[in-house]
Amino acid sequence: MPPKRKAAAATAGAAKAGRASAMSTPGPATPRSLDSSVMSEAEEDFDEDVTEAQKKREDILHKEADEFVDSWKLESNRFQAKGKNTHYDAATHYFGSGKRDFSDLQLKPDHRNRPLWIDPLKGVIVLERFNPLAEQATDFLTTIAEPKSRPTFLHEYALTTHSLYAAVSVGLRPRDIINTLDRFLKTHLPVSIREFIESCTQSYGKVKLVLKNNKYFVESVDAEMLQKLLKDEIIGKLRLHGAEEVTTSYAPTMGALVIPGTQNAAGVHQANLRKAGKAGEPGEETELFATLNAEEDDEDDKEAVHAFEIADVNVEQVQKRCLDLGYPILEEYDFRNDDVNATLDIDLRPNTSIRPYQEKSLSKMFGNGRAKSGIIVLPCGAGKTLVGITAACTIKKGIIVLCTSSMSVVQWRQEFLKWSNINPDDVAIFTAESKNKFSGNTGIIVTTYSMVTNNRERSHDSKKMMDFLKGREWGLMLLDEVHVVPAEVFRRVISSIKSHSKLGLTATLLREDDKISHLNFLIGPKLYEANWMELSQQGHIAKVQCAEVWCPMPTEFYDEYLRASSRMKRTLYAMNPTKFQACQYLINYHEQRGDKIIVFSDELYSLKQYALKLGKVFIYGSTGQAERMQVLENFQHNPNVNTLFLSKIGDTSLDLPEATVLIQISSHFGSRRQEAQRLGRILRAKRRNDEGFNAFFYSLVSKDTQEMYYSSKRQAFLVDQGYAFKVITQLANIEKTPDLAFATPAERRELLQRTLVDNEKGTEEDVETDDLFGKVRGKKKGGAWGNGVRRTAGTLGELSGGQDMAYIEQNKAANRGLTKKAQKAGQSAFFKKIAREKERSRVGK
Amino acid sequence: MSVGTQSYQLSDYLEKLPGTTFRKLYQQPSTAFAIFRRMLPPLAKIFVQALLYAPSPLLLKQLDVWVKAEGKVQRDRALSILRSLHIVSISAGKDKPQEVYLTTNFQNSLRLALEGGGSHGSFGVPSTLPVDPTIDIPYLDRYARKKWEDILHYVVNSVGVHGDGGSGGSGSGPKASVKDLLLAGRLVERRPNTKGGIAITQAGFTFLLQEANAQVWTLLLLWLEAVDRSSAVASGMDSVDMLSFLFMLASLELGRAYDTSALTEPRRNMLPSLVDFGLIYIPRDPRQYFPTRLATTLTSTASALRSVSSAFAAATAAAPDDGTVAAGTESRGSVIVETNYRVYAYTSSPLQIAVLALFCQLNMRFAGMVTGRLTRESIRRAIEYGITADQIISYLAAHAHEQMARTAATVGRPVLPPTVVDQIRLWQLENERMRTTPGFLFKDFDTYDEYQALSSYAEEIGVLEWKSDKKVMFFVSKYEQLRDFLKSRKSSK
Amino acid sequence: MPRAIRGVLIECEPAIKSIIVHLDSANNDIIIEDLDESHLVVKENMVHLLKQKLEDRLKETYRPEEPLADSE
Repeated sequence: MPPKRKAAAATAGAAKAGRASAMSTPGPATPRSLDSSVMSEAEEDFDEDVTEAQKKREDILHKEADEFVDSWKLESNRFQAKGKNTHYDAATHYFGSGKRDFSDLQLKPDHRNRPLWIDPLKGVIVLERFNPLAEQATDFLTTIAEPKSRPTFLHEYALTTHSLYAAVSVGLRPRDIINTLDRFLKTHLPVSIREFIESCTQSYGKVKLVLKNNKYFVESVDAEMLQKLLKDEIIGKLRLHGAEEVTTSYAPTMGALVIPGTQNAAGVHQANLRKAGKAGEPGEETELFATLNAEEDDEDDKEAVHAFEIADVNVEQVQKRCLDLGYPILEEYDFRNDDVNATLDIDLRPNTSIRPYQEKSLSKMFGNGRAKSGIIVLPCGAGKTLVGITAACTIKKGIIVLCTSSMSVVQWRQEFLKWSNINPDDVAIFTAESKNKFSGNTGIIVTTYSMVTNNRERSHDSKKMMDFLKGREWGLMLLDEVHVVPAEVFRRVISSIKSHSKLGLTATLLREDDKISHLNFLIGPKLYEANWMELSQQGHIAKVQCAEVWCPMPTEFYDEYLRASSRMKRTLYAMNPTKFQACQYLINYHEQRGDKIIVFSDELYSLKQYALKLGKVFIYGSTGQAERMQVLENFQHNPNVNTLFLSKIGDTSLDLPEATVLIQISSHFGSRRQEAQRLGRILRAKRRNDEGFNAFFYSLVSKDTQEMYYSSKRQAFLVDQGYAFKVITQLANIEKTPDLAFATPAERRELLQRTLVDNEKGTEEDVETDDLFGKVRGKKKGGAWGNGVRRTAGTLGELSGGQDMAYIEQNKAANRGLTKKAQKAGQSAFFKKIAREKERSRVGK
Repeated sequence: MSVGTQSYQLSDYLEKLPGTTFRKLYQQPSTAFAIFRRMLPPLAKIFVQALLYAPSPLLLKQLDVWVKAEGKVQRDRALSILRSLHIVSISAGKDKPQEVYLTTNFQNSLRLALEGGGSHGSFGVPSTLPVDPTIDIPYLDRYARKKWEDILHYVVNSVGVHGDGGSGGSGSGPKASVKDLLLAGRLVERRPNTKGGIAITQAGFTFLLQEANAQVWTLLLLWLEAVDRSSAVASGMDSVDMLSFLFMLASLELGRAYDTSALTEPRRNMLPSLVDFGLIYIPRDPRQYFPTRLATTLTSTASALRSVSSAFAAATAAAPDDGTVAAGTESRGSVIVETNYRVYAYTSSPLQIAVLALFCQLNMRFAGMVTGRLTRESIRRAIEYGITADQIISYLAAHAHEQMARTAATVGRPVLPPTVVDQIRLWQLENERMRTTPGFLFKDFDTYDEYQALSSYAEEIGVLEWKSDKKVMFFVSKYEQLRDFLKSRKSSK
Repeated sequence: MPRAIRGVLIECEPAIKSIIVHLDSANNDIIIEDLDESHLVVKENMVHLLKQKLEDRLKETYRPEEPLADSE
């Protein structure tokens, strides 16, 4: 029987963000499948109550997207059919059995001054970072190719259909791409690459979908292209019959558009001041405007575009049809000429200036004066939110923001208030607990993906809200953490909410399920991706020292591990006493340095055990809301609370700005994005600078167990970004740690016994809610359950298992020590309480 | 004695020579000069210069005037080297303070070397015959490189995976005499079932991964030792004289022709082998001989050695624009190792590529650059061949690209990424998770004394691998002697 | 008269020994004698198999190699 659900307290629209008052405890604690595959965990969250028919349709769309993507492989015979002589000399056979020996590509005489090589078979580009032209080449490459490896001296990128699609959508023309690439190459541009670029870009970017004056137009610079589309039986029928079949006008340019917060904005401001001072003088704004990339400058200013109109109900069909024909549509929003939708009064606060890389990313989005839909990739802590807000301030039309959890909803609203001058009444939140609208005729709504895609029976308020959202045209849809959410969810969101432009924000485009291609066609191409190493070298994000600590298992534990089921294996390698000691050691070490430490474990049992034993506060799924806020506040501001244990709950947009050390004691399978994201938790740390590192990431792994495998799988992404993982096999003087836990064999044996007994029945379920306030999703896709999860057993265990209750209570006790009263009474009271709880846990079993 | 896992170099060889040999060696000024230049640390050179023109022995402590307060270690080291090379003698110092002086032959020879003069001809007698203008330095470089590479290819290709079992490179490979030398020096060994019948040894790997100058000396020293061992005395070959000749060659000028007839007969007899090694070039008219760069840099300092590899690199450039490293623009280092285990090497040489392939997984090749990775698989494969983690690490460090060296210098960090270095060692360890020793377990003793006696005996004769007094058992690698011991013990009761 | 049993002495870390013991537990056909926490005596003809099985076991703990992304 599920625990009681507390009634959601109503809140006023302008609830102070961050206050605990209005939030209720999470809903029914439905356990989720634990041993799910490496597919995005969030997938399970969003599949409730989707009809079979809808699922079928989505599967078809999936397949079609896949097929489309596949048809453009560089390696296919289409481009490679030239038939090469692959044997050159004795060394040739070392390289892909001779297939990857490209030494026949002649070097240009001045090759030393050029920074790139390219592989004609797979489109891999190698960049010499120490070459004089490296900077420009890098800029160019990030626009046309996918970064694959970016360590110190030589970087590698891949030219793919997606990357070319992105290039074209920011305005690069095929001929420009080819010429510039050739300019930077040490060898001449191979024929296969030239043909590949030409044929991909021939169809991409030719067709745009523009919402102008509230009408939808299919637009192209190529009149013939439009004719071709019109001749298509499906599209032809959908053309709106009006006065002219095809209109012609001039192509858009950036012109007088200024992105707030940028250098230009500052310049313009100055110019305006001056202008105000000296009446009658011609403004010099025109010179100060627009730092377009050179590529875009090449566009002839007065290029002609042709368009025909379609009805808004047919947009999706037209998009799909164009995709089928091989001409994926790019979406652009001409917001400056949108007179129909109300303008939002919003601007960045005067002293807000955005950083160069943020500016760059936005210039890709607004390069031609319109808003392009697409995805911007910036590492955690690099200011993605500000990018989204600046985009909103540029467009100045109704904004809808989609987040992954209620917590992030609250935070986004906070950020809007912080960085912009928007009237608090104009920013409303829509979550399970709070359903507000903005007061005026336009504004900002911040909500979660689940709120808008949930097909379940809604409360009256909720339904009204949804109607409101669906019934209007939004200027910008901000999609947060785009990598987490499954493609289906986007389809649903996008089909139900109409927005002129969409901006996806994420720290990584990595998805274990590799459905990036679908995102490209649903939201838009990747507009910009930052270089982590560069950002950290420039001081925008923390420099992180990453280390893997190998913890051997004592024999008894290891013997048990060898015999155990895979579920138990996980618990055992988390409960390894050596690991415990290492954790203790590191916490001691860093607390002494004055660091704020977060310890992650997605294995609940060990999380609690560690936290209790070490007397540290912790938060996990079942932690009450009020308690969470309190613990978080203390962690941030209380000098005596320096270590926080966190479960998976911490993975979703929990803003923890002050952590400088991250210790991982257990991690589930091999999700690269998980590890990258966790790093993001601490990447904000900027103070301190001994040895140039100001943040630390430790992954504790039990030696000779599967954990080592999973651990290094996850590091792969970071390693490719240039982070080096040290391996620590010994911690100096660990025996000298005061009160070292499990120092005797007897204690270790006892721990082993206790661990085995406690976990035998599978009573400890990871009751994890994905977000702090929202609902818990239960089913895996298709309704099947993962290994070892029984719904009822889980909930029962949570409630009635004696030991579990004891833990929960103790948890509350540790956290309770943080109430104001305890604080007022002096810190010693807090510690005394902890000590008491510890005693109790040691004795009272 | 053959080449061990550590690189066996000239200093090791010289160390073993007796004083009489040195006296003979030092009769030749070029030898004294070569050793002075190449084998002595700076402080030792200062000492030698101080003593060079001293009419009578100096007091030992007079040398301290050149020694800094904290330089005692260097001083001792300098003196010890000078002694072991029989360059100085130091009196015992029993009744009076110690004195130091140069040994006679060395002193005379070094003076001659510095002053010039004398008719020793030990710096080679230039040829008076006209010189063919096509035999210029680039020509000699190409020639030397080809010869040398043939030898290396032979060794590299004896690694099983490379398949063609020793035929390597282009052409027929090195002469039989060279092959024999490689076998005798145990750089390769006979392996009946492999293609070509030979396989590389661990010493062979060390050899391969050494840099050029060290490789040349390795081979030369093998040669000297072979001569020592054999009864080649009959043919008039004498390793001391051979060594002297090598020192002489080291002093010659690259690009000049020298007079063959000015050489003694034993030395003339050395020429064919030296040709095989690529140290000497003999044109159609055998009255002249040309030393190649391999010879003239035998006793060079490090910076001069860098010119060797760049010269070689230039030599391989068939055409000016084939993209290889141009002479002088790059240092000998061409390999970049990144923190994510990727490897990039600026090379076109099939030889260097083959060496990299020993422990890297190669990926793409462009004109003048190859890419690859260090992976668990590739390192383990190398370990299985017998290459050690240290050898791989030294090779990567020795061939590190200039960019890596520069960056390391500016930030004060090691040249190779420490994580990668550690990981290579860890991968080696992974291969060594257990040690196995076949043998016999002894248990069920009649008395504890019996156990004691046997285990002690086993220990004495060196076959005891493990024992436990508590369990009253032990393990030995061989048991025959123990059996005999047991029998004799019983019979003696 | 003591017995001399032919076998192969294995010297290794305790973790490896645990794995060997575990492997042996299936058919009890590998270990002749368990000596101490880092030594065992095993049957000579099982050594090769043992090495293989050990490798298999340890494989699952190894860092997986990122397949050369550009050679996928």
